[in-house]
Amino acid sequence: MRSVICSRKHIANANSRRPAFSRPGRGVALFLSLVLLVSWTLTLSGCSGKKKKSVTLFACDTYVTLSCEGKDANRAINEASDLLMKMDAKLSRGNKDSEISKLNASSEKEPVTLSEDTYYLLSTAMKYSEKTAGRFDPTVAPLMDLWGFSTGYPHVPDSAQIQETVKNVDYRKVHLLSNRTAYVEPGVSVDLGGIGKGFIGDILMQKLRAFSLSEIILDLGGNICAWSSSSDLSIGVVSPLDTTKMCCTFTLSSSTVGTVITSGAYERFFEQDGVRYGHIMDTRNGFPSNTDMLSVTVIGADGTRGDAYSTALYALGSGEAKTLAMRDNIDCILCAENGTLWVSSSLKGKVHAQEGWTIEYFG
Amino acid sequence: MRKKDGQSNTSVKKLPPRNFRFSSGDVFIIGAIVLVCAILIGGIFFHRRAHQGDARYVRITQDGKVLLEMDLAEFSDPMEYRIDSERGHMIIFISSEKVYIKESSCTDKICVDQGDLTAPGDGAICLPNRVVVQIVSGGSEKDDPSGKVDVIAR
Amino acid sequence: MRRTAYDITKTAMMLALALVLSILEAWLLPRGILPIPGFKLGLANIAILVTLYSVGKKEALLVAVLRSLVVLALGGNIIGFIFSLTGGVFAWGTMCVLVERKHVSIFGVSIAGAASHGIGQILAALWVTRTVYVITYLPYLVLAGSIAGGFIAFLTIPIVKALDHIGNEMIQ
Repeated sequence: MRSVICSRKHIANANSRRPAFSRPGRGVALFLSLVLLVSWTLTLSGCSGKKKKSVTLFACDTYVTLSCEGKDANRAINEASDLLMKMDAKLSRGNKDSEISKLNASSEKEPVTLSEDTYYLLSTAMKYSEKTAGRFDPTVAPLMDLWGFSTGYPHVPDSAQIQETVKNVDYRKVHLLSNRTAYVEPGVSVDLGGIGKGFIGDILMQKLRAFSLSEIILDLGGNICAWSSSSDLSIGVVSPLDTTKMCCTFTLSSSTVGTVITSGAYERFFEQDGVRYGHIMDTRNGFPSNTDMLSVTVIGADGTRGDAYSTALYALGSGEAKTLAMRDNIDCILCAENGTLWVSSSLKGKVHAQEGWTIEYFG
Repeated sequence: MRKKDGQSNTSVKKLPPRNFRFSSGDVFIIGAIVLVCAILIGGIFFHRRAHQGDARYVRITQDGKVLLEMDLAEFSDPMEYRIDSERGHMIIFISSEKVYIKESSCTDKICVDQGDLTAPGDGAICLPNRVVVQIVSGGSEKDDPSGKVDVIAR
Repeated sequence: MRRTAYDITKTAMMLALALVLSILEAWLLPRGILPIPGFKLGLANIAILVTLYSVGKKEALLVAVLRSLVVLALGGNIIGFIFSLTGGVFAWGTMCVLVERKHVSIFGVSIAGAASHGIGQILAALWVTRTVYVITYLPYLVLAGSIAGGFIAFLTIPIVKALDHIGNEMIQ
């Protein structure tokens, strides 16, 4: 038992102290300035004798930490990091040669052919856009650019510009054709960043499960994807009021794959004239979403779904979010302004509130 | 006095009084500086001694953001940790015995001069790269929210 | 308040002296020689002290700021500039207050100035690195700086006296 605690400790530390955006302004600056950060740590854990390996990379515009324990840890991590970098290059909007950049340059006359992964992810994104009535929308990127969230210099844009830009934020302007081809209408720009990390997490987990391992913990800029063969894992959810603390913990049963994905404007936001603007957009009016919600954490086996729904539920506000979560059977923790954690009743007994937070179940 | 003779015609402004002899106020200033420094050094010294036997962690931060924090015991195989950022690049050597900044793209190389870091409290700073490398003791669970959990979602 | 040509000349001379001393210090004490990384003797403070005693407070600040700027222009880095500027302004503020005190001599002024220089630099380092750890440098930097400060005061006295002498000759 002691060996388990001992070996866990460094993973917990290595992951949790590296918030992707703990200091908002600097976070965004570093977000762009850091080209690549790689750390290799090959360790034969002294106290357990189990092979354990952990690597941190800069991918998907954030820090990604892959940690594995077990016989194949070395090989597994190497192959997973290669896959991660490959997927990142494919899906990044910033990379001019990526498939997404080609898609954004396409037109009705010249549709592009996408790889299987990209096409699948795009169609999945469209499916969730439809289900959430556009609250999650992969075409929100131009709006993010306009507000300066993607450039690192956020500001309140001109309202006429917002009106103009929000017209092109519409997932229905992306057209999927047969034979894995697709095109976008003029002015529309797709960014799968809002769903891509969840998807890449799923793919990596699938790949890693094929190896002989006893524990896998993936941290993609705070999106957690975890699995352990023999012991329960405890996954903390960061407090949106103080990112050095947690608001609750979630217990993931052994031998289950779990993804824990949080959305909130507590790490990427800016203030102008005393008003706080977060990075999650309300696609209806083109302004940052402003509801009673502080953060939303979606839990489930499917990280792609979790990533899409966490964004959509956050943009809705707690009332509508509960309705949507119940309708689509989403297990989630809604963290509201008054210190209440609205937790899906299906998660009863697995979520434990930290001091200062009270749990109320719904559904 | 001399000051008045020399300057009263050329300038109307008043120069500060001159005192070139070591005076009572100087003793007070030196005493205050020595006292404050002694307290600080003593505090650092005792803090170090109190954490001597603890597990040692290496913590690397850039712009106040923690890039790496790991138990030194994990580095039975030494590694070179690279930082490639817009500000510059660095190579930090980490082994279970010591940590040091091996290379830095900065001009002053003050960080490289800081040498081996071995005990909790040791650290090296590279201001141009805004990187701080520290050895910290492991007994800090109380301010560490991750103490009880395996990983934190954010 | 009127600035005389003599005052302007003295200020300009001191700025030149400050620059020469900055370069001389880098040349005399290459990196790695002193036991505290990043520590400097602060020879340029001689020129600032002289300006403070024989021209005035505003001019002393001018010399401190311009020195930092020119060193930056001569190929210094921006971080070095931020540090010498914060340190310089802190030191100047402290020295201005203490110089008026009758029972504080040039030694006290210089030592307290050097100590404030260290404090200013640590504050700048705190701001740049956002890491509280840099405070552990404070006592060493301040102590070493204070010793150097005493030495600097010793070197400053003959220059102030010599300038007075030149001034007297000009008037006669």
